[in-house]
Amino acid sequence: MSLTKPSGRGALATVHNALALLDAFSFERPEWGVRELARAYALPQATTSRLVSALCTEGFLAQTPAKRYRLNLLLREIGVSAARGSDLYDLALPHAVRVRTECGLATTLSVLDGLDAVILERLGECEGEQRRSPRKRWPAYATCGGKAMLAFASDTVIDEVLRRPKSACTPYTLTQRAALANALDDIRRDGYAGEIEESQIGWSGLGVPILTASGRCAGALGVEVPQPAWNPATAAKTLVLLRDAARTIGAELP
Amino acid sequence: MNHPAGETSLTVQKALRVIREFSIDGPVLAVSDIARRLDLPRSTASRLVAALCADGYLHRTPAGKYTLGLRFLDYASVAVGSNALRGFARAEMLDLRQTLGLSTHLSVFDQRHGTIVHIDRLRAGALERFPLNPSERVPVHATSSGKAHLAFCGDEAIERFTAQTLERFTAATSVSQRRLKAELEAVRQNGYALGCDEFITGVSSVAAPIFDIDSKVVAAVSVTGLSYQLNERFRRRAIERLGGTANRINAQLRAAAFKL
Repeated sequence: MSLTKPSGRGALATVHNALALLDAFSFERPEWGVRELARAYALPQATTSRLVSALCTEGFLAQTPAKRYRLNLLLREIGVSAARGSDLYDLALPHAVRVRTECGLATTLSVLDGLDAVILERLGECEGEQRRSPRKRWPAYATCGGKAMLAFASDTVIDEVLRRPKSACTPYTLTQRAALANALDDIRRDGYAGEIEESQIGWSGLGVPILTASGRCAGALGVEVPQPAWNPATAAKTLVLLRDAARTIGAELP
Repeated sequence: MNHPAGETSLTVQKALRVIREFSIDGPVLAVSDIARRLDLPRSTASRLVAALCADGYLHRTPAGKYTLGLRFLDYASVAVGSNALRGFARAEMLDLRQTLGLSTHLSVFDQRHGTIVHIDRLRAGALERFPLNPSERVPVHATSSGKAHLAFCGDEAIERFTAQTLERFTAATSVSQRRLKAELEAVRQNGYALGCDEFITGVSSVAAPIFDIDSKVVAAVSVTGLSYQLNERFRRRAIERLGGTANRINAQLRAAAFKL
């Protein structure tokens, strides 16, 4: 954990530092004490304590009985507000609900954020043999929704992803440049992306890009399947549902 | 940092309030909206927005307005996913949904906003086709979860809550202070709360409170279905099952010495 260089100076640098503290809280480590945060961020303890107390007062952090800190549930709501800020969210949600009720699989709506695929909404729970990771952000090359968006992204984004070293989520993640480039070609040809245990062992999926009238990729709809392989007939039926929904959403977007 | 501590703290506070101005019903704001709502000079608002944008906390739309950056989704998933109560309740909730075939919710009382927030939802049956409520917020007095919480919040909190104007959502909503208090008394007697067509006509629910080791109410677990489906016979069965679920979650919290 370290602080990046603040973009502002003086008081604005403090804003940067206060919000940077939120990055410390993760699934692996959801709880921190002031002293631990101060050490991790190389900040004076008094400063850290002041920043933490401001984050508490405004509802971003919550104090535990042991005087340690966790992300407060207010952030859940701020997260929903962030998802809703995307013009895609309200438009796509009813279609995602329909896909979910018709196929019974966990259905996701994602967008590209930089080089990551971010899940704006996941409908249905993910209780397989292994529980689906609650993560909302994945490297775009590792999930079916991400690959579907990547295939239809700008050349700059595609080149950047291909060029950069890619870390593996599982042994099946497409980390090799050539393998990923080939996969993206196939996705552009077929209009959908499949995924077999590339983001998480025990999970596979299907994703389709949401293409607007002007050909821009606005996001992706996908389903998450709690098994490494599934019945081709079911997959084909699900793909029809996803494609219809994505086409309807895309037609309404500029 | 050679600014006085007081001044920098104020700037942090203002920046955090800028973020909080974005809401589920108003997720896109212009600088002028922010300046007006927070009563800040436009130049201050503009400077804060620019700093938050540079760090990815805000995002500028093509129309020159602002939305929250998607990094807040990461914080949201950690805030909810690492919620200890949710961890305790998940397996029991899955069992309950499986047995009854009803949508199952785990919710907490947000005292600050006076509403109930669902922190976990397992949708099932006909309700799965209902539009999703993205905020996961429901009113206290018109839902079984709300009443299951409020009934155990103590006289003072009940007095304060029932004294405010109670919004009517359907013909069945309890909007009278006296009627709501009588319902809360029944909840304490029975150990569970009922909600019948009070928030949405045609939708009913049953909720049971969850307590920490100090016997403070920390959550409610509820099942929701269509009202005709939750007839008296099925409701009795639901109440019985829900009671068992709540008891087992309570026992787990006791075993873990859980305190909110």
